[in-house]
Amino acid sequence: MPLLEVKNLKTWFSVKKGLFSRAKYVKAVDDVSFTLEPGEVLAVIGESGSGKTTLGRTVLRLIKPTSGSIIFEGKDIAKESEHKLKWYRFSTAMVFQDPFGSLNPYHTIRYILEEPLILRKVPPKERFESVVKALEEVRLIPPEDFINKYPHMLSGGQRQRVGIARALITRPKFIVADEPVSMLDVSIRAEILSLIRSLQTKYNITMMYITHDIATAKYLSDKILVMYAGKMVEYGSFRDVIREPLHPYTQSLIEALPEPDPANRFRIRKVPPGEPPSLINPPPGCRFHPRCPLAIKGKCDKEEPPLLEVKSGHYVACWLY
Amino acid sequence: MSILLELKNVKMYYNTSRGTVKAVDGISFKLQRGETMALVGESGSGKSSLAFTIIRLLPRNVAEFSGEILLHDEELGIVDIAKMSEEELRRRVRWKKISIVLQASLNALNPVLRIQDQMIEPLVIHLGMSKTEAVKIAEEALKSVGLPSDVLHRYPFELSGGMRQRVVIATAIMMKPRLVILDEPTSALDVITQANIMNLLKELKKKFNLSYLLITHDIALASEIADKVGVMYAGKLVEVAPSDIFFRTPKHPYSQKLLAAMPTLREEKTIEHIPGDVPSLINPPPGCRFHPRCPLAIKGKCDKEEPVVKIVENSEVSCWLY
Repeated sequence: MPLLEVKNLKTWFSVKKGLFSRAKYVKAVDDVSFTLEPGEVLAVIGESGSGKTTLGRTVLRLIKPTSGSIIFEGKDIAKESEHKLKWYRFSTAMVFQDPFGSLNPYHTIRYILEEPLILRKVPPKERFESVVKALEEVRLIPPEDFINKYPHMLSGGQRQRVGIARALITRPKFIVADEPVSMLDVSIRAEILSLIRSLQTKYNITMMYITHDIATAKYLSDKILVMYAGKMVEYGSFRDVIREPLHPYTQSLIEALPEPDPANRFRIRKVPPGEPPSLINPPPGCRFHPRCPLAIKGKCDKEEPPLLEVKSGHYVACWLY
Repeated sequence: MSILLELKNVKMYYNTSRGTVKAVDGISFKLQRGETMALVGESGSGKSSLAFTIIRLLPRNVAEFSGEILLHDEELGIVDIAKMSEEELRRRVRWKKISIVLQASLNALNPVLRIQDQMIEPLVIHLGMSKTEAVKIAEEALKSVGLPSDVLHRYPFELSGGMRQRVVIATAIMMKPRLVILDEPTSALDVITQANIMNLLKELKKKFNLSYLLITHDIALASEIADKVGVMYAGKLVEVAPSDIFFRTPKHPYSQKLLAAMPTLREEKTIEHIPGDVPSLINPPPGCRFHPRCPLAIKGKCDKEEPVVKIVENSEVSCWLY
């Protein structure tokens, strides 16, 4: 049985300009579906404004979805009211992007890590032991050196370790990591990624890894879901999608990615011009068509492509298939 | 090829309440005309400080500023930027010979001024042009970065991140400088936008025979444009090598570690990490500054004596292993 099953999830935000004007919607997440087996990691890839963060927050029910279902351990929590969600909150956690903004500057590392345990009514002695163990696990060693410090006394990489420790201290079944390494130096990214990977494997944690960088996703992910302007455009196992990306958008994302090679300086990358569209007035038909090098006139700009299973387990929403 | 810029033992220290920060500590290198150099290093390695030092945008609390920053120019001859008067620097060098594209382009533009007003400001105020003349130049520059001229009448918030970065680049190349310093020019942009900006920079380089000094922490991005790479560590330049050599056989253990830590999509490799943190620039370790993190450090040597520059297979490397 899958741990998490998301079906036709939509999160729309209404924006009203005037009193009598019709409500418009920002369709941040528009019809997204995926499943995750226990211990699986899903990479959600997309540019800024693609709705990937909203998807992560909706799945954690930090935002209430407009429609669709989020089935966690067989129970649909999409419509559940807040006071009935405590069990779900206790089985999930989040790692945030910004290691500077996500830790309260007035709290010590000890309190930051203890807080989720206090909420769960863990006795003080056990709490302290857990904090020490959590610090050791994220290799903030020796823990005594860190436990009474404040966030500003730590480097970006160390702060992100605290963020990971806080997410894992309650042993959640499912976590959402939203760009956990994008604000760190490239040289520290490797370390944080391997740390996340080792803890994820150790505790068999199911995870959504949200990022714009496919290269870092490779080190963590089993599955990949590519989003563009609120829509999922491609979904499948990470290896299959990377080996043979089907959607022109996924292909451009891979093409755009530099790798250290001195020959790069002599080539111009074939990437689509422009930037993702506004989510209030997305283009009709396939939302990628104005930038797509392979768009079919009269088709891609008119009708929205359905999500098709082109190969076993490999889905794509594109009129080319 | 002829030399464009030559740094000789440049130092820039500044005071803080905790002590003197040795951000740039004896840097020497040469840059040829039309050549692009990438300066790579982790945060806190002094690479941005070096960029600002080259055009002498020094912090107010500067403690020491020494060395020579020689600009070779057919019009000005060989001038030392470090010793020029502020007035001369402003009139003859900044914008005209050397310009800079700042890290956070979103903040580099003033939100309450139209693009036109910010683009022509240096032309009118620093160079004494008339407004119509300046607008014409700004229009031309926007065209060369692929933006329509109506952008001039817009405010920064009306533009996307990629367009804003193009405006900043247009402003930097407006006066046809010889050297453009790029300080993390794509750090806040998405991958596809980043690739578009890098494509643009390559085209502009060809068109105007520009030299770039690219400051970045991303080695893969450096390979997009660099003819040679300089690696900075704790205020020092530990390796300078042509790209063809650097990316295949980096010499300094730190350079090797940096490359091994780079996540890549196409290549099958396990990523390694560099243990420890970047040292403080207030009290850098004695000897080679990388020795506490170096797996190959020689006891009694690397932790005592500062390594000297050696030339190994066209790479200049400061390491006792060679």
